[in-house]
Amino acid sequence: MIEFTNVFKRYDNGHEALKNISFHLQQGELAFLTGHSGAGKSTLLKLISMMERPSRGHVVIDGQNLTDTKSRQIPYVRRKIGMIFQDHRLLFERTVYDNVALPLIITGFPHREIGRRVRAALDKVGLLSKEKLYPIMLSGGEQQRVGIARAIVNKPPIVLADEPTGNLDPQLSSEIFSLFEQFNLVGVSLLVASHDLSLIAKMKFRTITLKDGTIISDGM
Amino acid sequence: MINKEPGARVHAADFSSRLSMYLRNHIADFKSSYRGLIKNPLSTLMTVMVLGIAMALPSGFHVLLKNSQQLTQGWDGNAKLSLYLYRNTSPQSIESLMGELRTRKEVSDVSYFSPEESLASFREESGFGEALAFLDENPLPGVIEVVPSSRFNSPREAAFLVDSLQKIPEVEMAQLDLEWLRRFHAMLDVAEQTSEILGILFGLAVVLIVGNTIRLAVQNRKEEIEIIKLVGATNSFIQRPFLYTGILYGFSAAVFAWLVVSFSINWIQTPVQNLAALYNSQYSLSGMSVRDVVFLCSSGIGLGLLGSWVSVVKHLKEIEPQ
Repeated sequence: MIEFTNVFKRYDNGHEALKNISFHLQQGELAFLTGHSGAGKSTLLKLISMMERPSRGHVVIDGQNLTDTKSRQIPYVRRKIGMIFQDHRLLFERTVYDNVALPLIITGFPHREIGRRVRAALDKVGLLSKEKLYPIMLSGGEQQRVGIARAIVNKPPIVLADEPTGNLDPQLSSEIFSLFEQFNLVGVSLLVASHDLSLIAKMKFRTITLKDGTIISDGM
Repeated sequence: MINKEPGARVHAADFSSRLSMYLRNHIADFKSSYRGLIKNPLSTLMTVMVLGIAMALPSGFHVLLKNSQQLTQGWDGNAKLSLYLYRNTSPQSIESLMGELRTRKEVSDVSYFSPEESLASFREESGFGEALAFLDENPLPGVIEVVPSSRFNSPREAAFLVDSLQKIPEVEMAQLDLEWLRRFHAMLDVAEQTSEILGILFGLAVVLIVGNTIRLAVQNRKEEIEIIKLVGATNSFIQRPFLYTGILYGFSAAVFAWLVVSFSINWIQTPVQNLAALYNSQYSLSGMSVRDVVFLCSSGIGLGLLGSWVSVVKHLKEIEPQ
């Protein structure tokens, strides 16, 4: 589902963020991506979501080689990927419902279908009662769950999460991780960047560890 | 491990539902653009007024020009030629010349004023009657007044007629009474060209003002645009509300310009009528025709769309999620 082959990423300022990265995340697999800040976790996720392009090597998503993908095609690649951010990235002028509906609206889903799916996604993250509220009225953990509902509402085959529990207490963090586990059970491939090592250790999933832009360990 | 389902897929919507959502989204974008504009009524009003004034100037100029052209239409039909005859022309040759002129297709009517008749009317109308008593003899020549037929009464055609009548041996001088009308028409031509240039320049100004306003709107919503791009929105989806904003600006500005022009015409109507009355005329200014208003509104919409499109295409490219 996500395949990296000898990927290098060097930024314009000469910083080499990723060096010779190769791994393959299978369909329906959940993996954690760990490492100190600056190890290259975010860069790796940005290559998948096409916010950055690799300097060398190939990234293949769902059978599509991103090296050959034109800028115009980027939106269609992103529709296959649900993205969850540490800072949530919600639209603060729109309600919870409208935030979650956004990925469906841009793909032209029928109106009734949107309502059904948005409520299903909000139900999944336990926020069904808050659909009419604005993100600012919610706690940090609730905002993050809105972000998660938005990421899964169009049932993408891939979900990426960048430090999803960065600002949350351990109780909320483990709730969110168990949500990921549930998505994985229905066949979604997930790649979760996190440095919450104790929580990762409890989960017993594949863990890819980065250091200075290279993979230093990859396994259970 | 638990048995997994074959894996989730992107669930694409079918064509007809995409089409209906497309229309629905357009309506929603239009509404949200409208709401965005009325949310900041003061700044929107100021932008619309600037745009409206920029559109009112060439429109007002056009209306004045049209009125001037209408003013001369009434005079064109009255073009008359005067043929001043040599003093020694015999009554017989005058008679035969008049007969000859009547047969020409360029001429609809001729009438002869003898030197005595001319003198009598001069005495009556000029107010210099007493001065004439000092003259030994009548200084005025006989005059044939020629009314051109309707096809030849425009200033240009009448001028050709003057040239041909000038060649008649008995005619000392042929004169077009409305020589000045030709000059006036030439001036109107200059004014018309000026009006076109004004239209182009102010149209360009509208495009630039809308473009700049939309640039600010795009930059204000940078963060929102980044997020929408991240969830997979295409540029054309993101552009749409901005294009509707441009259209709304252009249309409102056109309506404002229309009001400004109509109000101004109304304002100067009374002094113009007073002036016309001094010339024994019923003349009054006419405002913008339905065609003018439709043209103004569609230009406004077109210019607003152009300005916002140029701006949004350029500035959306600069915004990429980080």
